Amino acid sequence: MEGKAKKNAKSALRYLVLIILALLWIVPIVTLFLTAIKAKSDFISGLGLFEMPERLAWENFTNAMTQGRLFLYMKNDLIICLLKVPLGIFISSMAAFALTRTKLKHATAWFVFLLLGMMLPMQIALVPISIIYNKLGLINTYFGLFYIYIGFGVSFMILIMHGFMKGIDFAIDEAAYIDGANKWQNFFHIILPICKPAIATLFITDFLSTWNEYLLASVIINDNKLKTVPVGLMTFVGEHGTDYGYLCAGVLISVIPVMAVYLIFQRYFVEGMAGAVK
Amino acid sequence: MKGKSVKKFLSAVLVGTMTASLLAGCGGSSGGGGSEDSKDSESDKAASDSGVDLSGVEAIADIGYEGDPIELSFWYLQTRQEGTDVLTEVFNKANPNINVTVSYYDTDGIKDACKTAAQSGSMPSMWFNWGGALGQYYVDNDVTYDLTEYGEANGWADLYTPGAMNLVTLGGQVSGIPTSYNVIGVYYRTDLFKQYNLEVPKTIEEFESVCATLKENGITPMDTAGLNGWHVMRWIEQFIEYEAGADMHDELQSLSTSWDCDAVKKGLERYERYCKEGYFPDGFITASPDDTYMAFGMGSAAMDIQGQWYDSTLQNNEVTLENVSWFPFPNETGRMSAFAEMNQFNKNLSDEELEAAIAYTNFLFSNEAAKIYPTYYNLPLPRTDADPVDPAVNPNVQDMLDTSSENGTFTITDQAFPTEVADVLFNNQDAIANGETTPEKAAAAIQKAIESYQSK
Amino acid sequence: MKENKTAPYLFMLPALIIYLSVIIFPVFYSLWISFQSGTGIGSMEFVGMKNYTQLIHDEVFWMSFKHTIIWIVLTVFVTTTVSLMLAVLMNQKFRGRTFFRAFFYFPSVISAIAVAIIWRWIYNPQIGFINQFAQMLGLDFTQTWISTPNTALIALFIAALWQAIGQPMILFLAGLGGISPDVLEAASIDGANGVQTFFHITIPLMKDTFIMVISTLLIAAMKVYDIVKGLTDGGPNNATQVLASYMYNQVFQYNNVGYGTAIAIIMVLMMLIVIIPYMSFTAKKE
Repeated sequence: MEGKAKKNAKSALRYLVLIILALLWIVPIVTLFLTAIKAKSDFISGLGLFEMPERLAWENFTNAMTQGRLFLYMKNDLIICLLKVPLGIFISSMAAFALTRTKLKHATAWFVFLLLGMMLPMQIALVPISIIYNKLGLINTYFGLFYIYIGFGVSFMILIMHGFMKGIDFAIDEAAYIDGANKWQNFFHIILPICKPAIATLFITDFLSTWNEYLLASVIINDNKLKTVPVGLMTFVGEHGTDYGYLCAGVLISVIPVMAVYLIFQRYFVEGMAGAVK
Repeated sequence: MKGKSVKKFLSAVLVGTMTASLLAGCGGSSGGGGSEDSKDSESDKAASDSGVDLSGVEAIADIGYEGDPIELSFWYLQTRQEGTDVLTEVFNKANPNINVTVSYYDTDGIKDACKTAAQSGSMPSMWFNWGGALGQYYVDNDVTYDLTEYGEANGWADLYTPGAMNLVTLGGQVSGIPTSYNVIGVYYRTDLFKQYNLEVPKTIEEFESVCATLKENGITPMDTAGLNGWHVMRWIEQFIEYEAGADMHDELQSLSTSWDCDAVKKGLERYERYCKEGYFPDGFITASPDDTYMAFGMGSAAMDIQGQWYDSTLQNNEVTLENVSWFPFPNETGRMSAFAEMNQFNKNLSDEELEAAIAYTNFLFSNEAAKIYPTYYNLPLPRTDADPVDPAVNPNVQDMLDTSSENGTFTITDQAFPTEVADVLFNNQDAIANGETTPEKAAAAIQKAIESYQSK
Repeated sequence: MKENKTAPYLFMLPALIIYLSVIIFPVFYSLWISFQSGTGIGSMEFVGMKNYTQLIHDEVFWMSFKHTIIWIVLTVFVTTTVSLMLAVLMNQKFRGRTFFRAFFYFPSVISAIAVAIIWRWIYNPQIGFINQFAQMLGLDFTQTWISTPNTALIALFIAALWQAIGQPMILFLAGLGGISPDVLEAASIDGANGVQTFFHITIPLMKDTFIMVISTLLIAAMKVYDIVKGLTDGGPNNATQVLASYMYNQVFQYNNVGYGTAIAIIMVLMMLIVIIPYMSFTAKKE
C-alpha cells in the first residue's frame, strides 16, 4: 500500500516538473506557429507577437512549398541524407570495430587522431576543399558534397560507436571466432546488430546535422536544382526585409522529415544495451 | 535479434536508393545533366502561369551572335530568381549558340561564394556585386575584367548615368556595369506630422524640434536598428555631412583625411545626444533593420532613413503609401548618400565571351525586362535611357533621384570603408549608445582602425 | 586464433581515406596559410609568426577568447545538467513519455536562422514576450536583454540552450537505457533510496555516455557560430563575439585570410590541449 502511494506521489511530481519545464520551453515554439499563420498585414497592424491573427494565413505554407521551391529542396536534402547517413555510419562502424575489437597497434593513438575532425571549424576547410574540388571537377556534385559531409561526420560517429563497442562483452567475439567466423562475419553479422541503439542514435543526430547544414551546401552546390533546405530557407530572407510568416511556415514544413526520423528511431533507446550486457 | 538490425540497415539503404532514383527520375535533378530541360519546363510554366507577356523582351533578345558555342555562368541574388529565370530562358532561346546558366545565392551566401571562388580560382563568367569596398576586393585581387577601354570605346559615359558610373569606377578602373543606383532619404509619416502640426524640417535645428515634439507625444522619432550597424550609420553619416561640409566629408570618405577630427566628434556627439533623449527606439542596438518597417508601418515611429526602394518594400509589406512621403535630411549641403550595385566580369573571358556577357547583362537590365518584372529591380535602371518610374505606383522614387542629381551625392559609408573599418565604426555606434565610450574616443578608435588598415 | 595483421587496417581504410583528405589536408593547408599575410589570392607572403604575435595584442581577439571560455563553462555545466535532468525525468515509462521526449527534442531540429529570429523577438524590449509578460504581471520592465553588454551573452546562451539540449538528452536517454533494471533493483533491495542509487550507481555506470556528451558539448561550445551570428552578430560592441565568429569576420569579411586562419589554428590547439589528455585518459581505462 505504502509503495503505491509513494509511486503516485513520484509520478505526480514528475508530471508537475515536466509541465512547468514544458511551459517554459513552449514559448518560442508557439511564436513559431503563430507567426507562420500570420499574413504580412498582421505585422504592421500592432498585433502582438503572441496573439492570434483574425485570418489564418495558410497560404504561407502552400507558397513556401511552391514558390519557395521548398518541395524541391526537401527532396534534394532527403536524397543526400538517406544516402550519406547510412554510408557514414557504416564506414565509421568499421573503423570503430578496428579500434576496439582487433589487435590494432596504437589503437588509442589512432582513436585520438580520428577525433581531431570534430575540432575543425568548417569555415577553414572551405578554401582548401574548393581548390581541390575545382581541380577535380567535383564542385556542384552530390558526390563532392557527400564526401565532405562524411569526412566531417566520421569523428563524432567513431566516438559514439567506439564507446558503445567497447562495452560489448569480448566473449562474444571469441565464441564467434572459435566457431570459425572471420573478422568480417563477426563484425557484420554479430557485433553490428548489437549496436542497434547506437546506430539509431547516430541516425537521428547525423540526419539532423546533414539536413540543417548550410555553409558547405551553399558554397559547393551552385546549381539551383540541387540546393538543400537551409539554403532554400535563406531565400525567404529578402534583401530589404523578411516575410516572416512565409519563413516560419517554411521552417515548420522543413522539420517534418527530421521529426519523422526521430520518431521512427527513438524507440531504440528503450531497448538499450540490454542485449550487450548479457 | 541480430539479423533484424542488419536487415533494417540494409532496407534503409535500399529504400534510400530507390527513393533517390525515383525522385531523381521525376525531376532530372541529381547530376546537372538534365538541368537544361527542366529549366525549360519550369520557367515556361512560370511564365505562362503568371500570364506574362514576353513579346517585348523577345524582340530584343537576339544579339546576332554567329560564332562558336559559348557557355556563360552568372551568380545572382536569390530574391530575383523568378524573373531572371524566365528572362534568361528567353535570351538563351534567341541566341542558340550562347548558354547562360544562373546560380542564385542569398546576400551573405553570395559574398562567401565569391570570396571562396576568388581564392580557389573558380570565379564565374559574371557576378553580381555591390560597389565600393565590396567590389574593390575583386579589383585589387585582379579577378575582374578592366572595362575602362571597352567602356570608352562603347560610349558608356553616355549610356549609363554619371552617378552610377562613378560608383563602379574602383581603383581607377571601370570594374563593372552598374545595374542599380540608390539614394538615401528620410521617409516620414505625413499623418503623424499633420497630427502634431509638424512641418518638413529644412534645418537641423528644425529637425531636432520635430523629434522633441514627437517624443513628447509618445512616438519614436527616428526609427532605426543596430544589428549589422549600417542602418544606424545612415543617420550618423548625415550628422557628419552636416558638421564637415561636402568637401571635407568626401575626403573623410576616401580616407584621405583623419577621422579623429572635430567634425566627426561633433557628429557623434549629436548621435550621443539623440540616444540620451530617446529619439531612437528602445533596445535598437540589436534590433534587426529588416524590421524597421513594422514600427514605421504601425505608426509607432515617424521617420525611417531608407533608399528609394522603400516604396516597393512598404507596399510589399502591405503598408499603404498614402501617409508616406520623404524629405532629404537637412544636412545643409543637400547631398544624399548613394550606392550602386553592379555586374562584374571575369578577367579571363575571351573577347567573344565578354561581348556575349555584356549583351546578356544589358538585356537583363533593359527597360523591357524591367517593365515585365519591376519588383526584381531597384528602379529606375541606372541608364540614361531608362524608363521613368510610374509616380502613381512609386511616388517617391523619381523625386528622390531628381533631388540627388540636383544636390549631389556622397558615397555611403559602409561602401566607402573597408569592412574592418566599418565594423569598428559600428562597434563604436553600439558603445556610444550604451555609454561605454565617448564620441572623442570613438573618433580616435576609427582613425586608428583606418591607419592600421592602410599600413597593411 | 588466426590473426590477420592487415585486417584491422582494411576496416579503417575507407574512414581514413576520407578523413585524411577532408580534415587533415585542410588543417595543414590552414596551418601554412596562417603563417602568411595578404588578402588571399596570389598576393600572400610568408610572415612567420607575425599573425600570432599580432593576435596577442588584439583586444577583440581576447574578448572573443573570454566569451568562448565563458560559453564553454556554461555549456559543460548548465547544458549537461539540464539535459541529464530531462533524460532522467523521461526515462521511466509513463503516459505521454513519447510526446514529452519529442517535445523537448523539437527545438533542436529547427534551423539556426529561425531560432535566432524567434529569440530576437522574444527579447525585443517593446513587443517581446518577456517584457510583455512582466508587464502583464504589473512590473514595469523594459530591460533590453540583448542590447545591454552585461546581459547579452547570458541571454544569447539561454536561446542557445533552448535549442541545444535535444541532442545530449537523447544521448543520455540511450545511456540510461543501457543500465540493466536488475542492477537498480538490487540497489533498492540493499536499502538505497532514489537519490543514493542515482549518484552512486547510475552515474558511474553512465561514464561512457558522460564522456561522449561532455566532449561533444565542449567541442561544439568552442566552435559556436550560427546562433551568435544570427541573433546578435557579435554585438553590441563585441559583447557576444566568440572565436568562431571573429575568425569568420577576419577571413570572409575583412579578407585577412592569414590572420583569420591563425585564429582558427588557435581554436584547434585549444581543443587539442583539452581533449587529447581527456580522451587518452578515458580511452585507456578499460
